[in-house]
Amino acid sequence: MNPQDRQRLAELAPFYVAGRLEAEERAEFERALAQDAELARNVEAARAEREEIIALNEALPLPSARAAQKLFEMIEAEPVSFWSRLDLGARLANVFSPRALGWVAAAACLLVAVEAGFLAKPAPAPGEYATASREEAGLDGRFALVAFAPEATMEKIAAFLAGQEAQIVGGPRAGFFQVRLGGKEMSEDEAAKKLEALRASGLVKFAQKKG
Amino acid sequence: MRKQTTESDDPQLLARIARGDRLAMQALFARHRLRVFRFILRFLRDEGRAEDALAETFVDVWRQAGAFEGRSSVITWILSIARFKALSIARMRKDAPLDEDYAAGLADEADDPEVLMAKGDKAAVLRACIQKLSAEHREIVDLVYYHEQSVEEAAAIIGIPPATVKTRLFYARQKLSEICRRAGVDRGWP
Repeated sequence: MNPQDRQRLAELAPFYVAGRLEAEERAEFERALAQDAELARNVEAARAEREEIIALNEALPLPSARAAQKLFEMIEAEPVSFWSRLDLGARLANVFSPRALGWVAAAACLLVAVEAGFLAKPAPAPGEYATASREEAGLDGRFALVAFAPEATMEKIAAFLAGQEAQIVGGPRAGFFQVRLGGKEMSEDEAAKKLEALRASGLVKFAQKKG
Repeated sequence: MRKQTTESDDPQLLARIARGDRLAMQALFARHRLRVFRFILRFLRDEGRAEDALAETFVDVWRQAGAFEGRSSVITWILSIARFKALSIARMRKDAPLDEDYAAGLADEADDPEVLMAKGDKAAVLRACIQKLSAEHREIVDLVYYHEQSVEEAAAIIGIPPATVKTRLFYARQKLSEICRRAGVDRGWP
């Protein structure tokens, strides 16, 4: 073995001990290890180092619950960036059927239009689409959190929501849309009936009152 | 720290986090908070500040989850964010420069190797000698032995070429042997 190879293998000893060599490199290292006493001493030293490094780290304190509390408070305080959470790529394919994905894309186009400057327009008439931006603009009323069924099509969802005078006002976030069932003048009973109708439509796999 | 087989679904958790899934965020945080916290604590030497840095690291994970490209493992990516956060916080502190003083501060906290040698506890001597390594050397040994990062992963976290990772670790180990010899322990290598 030439001096360059000897040095190269000596530098790999810690990675061998930590189990972080690729198979080919590991095989080469083990072949050399069987014939080289210096490399064997190197490996023994590395094993001892590793044991004590692990012991030192394991002796360090644990983070308190404050860290988790602070993290999730910070996340809650994050501005709701719908766009940062809207992913029309492959990840949504796990949640929606190809047809529903087309519908999501259409909804996204509407959102682009709204974000582009239509926020100042009057609220839509019953049955029209509204978007997440409207909720963020302070829309109030009765809301539901909804996950549509994979087989639900854009046409069916649009027709059903129009018939119920409901609108999608947010999402998808984690696969869920926010649906406005009615204005704040709507009673809880009326909202519950609409929610039940939504569940019975076969278009949703989950629907729950929000807020 | 042994790699957990459950880490294989880290990319899926990140994909869910990118969609705003807080449960996935809780799962990822629960899985990695300990090792990330300990990594940060080595830089900051202050549990409160380390907890702040830990929270800020995972807020960045929340914000940037959609940008993760899978070029490295998720923990490597998180550790690189954590390192940046810890360095940023440490640089803001005039009383904790990231140089030899830092290592000296740590060493002061440890028992003296010579005293331990007199007690005949070789493992404790080695631990005390490790505590005397410089911050740069201690970082690389922690990353490889405790966090089990490969050459390329450690290079990505520290932001140095892979060849430098190997030589830096080699010299860290040589330095450790020197410190041990001064304490009366011959490690038999180099």
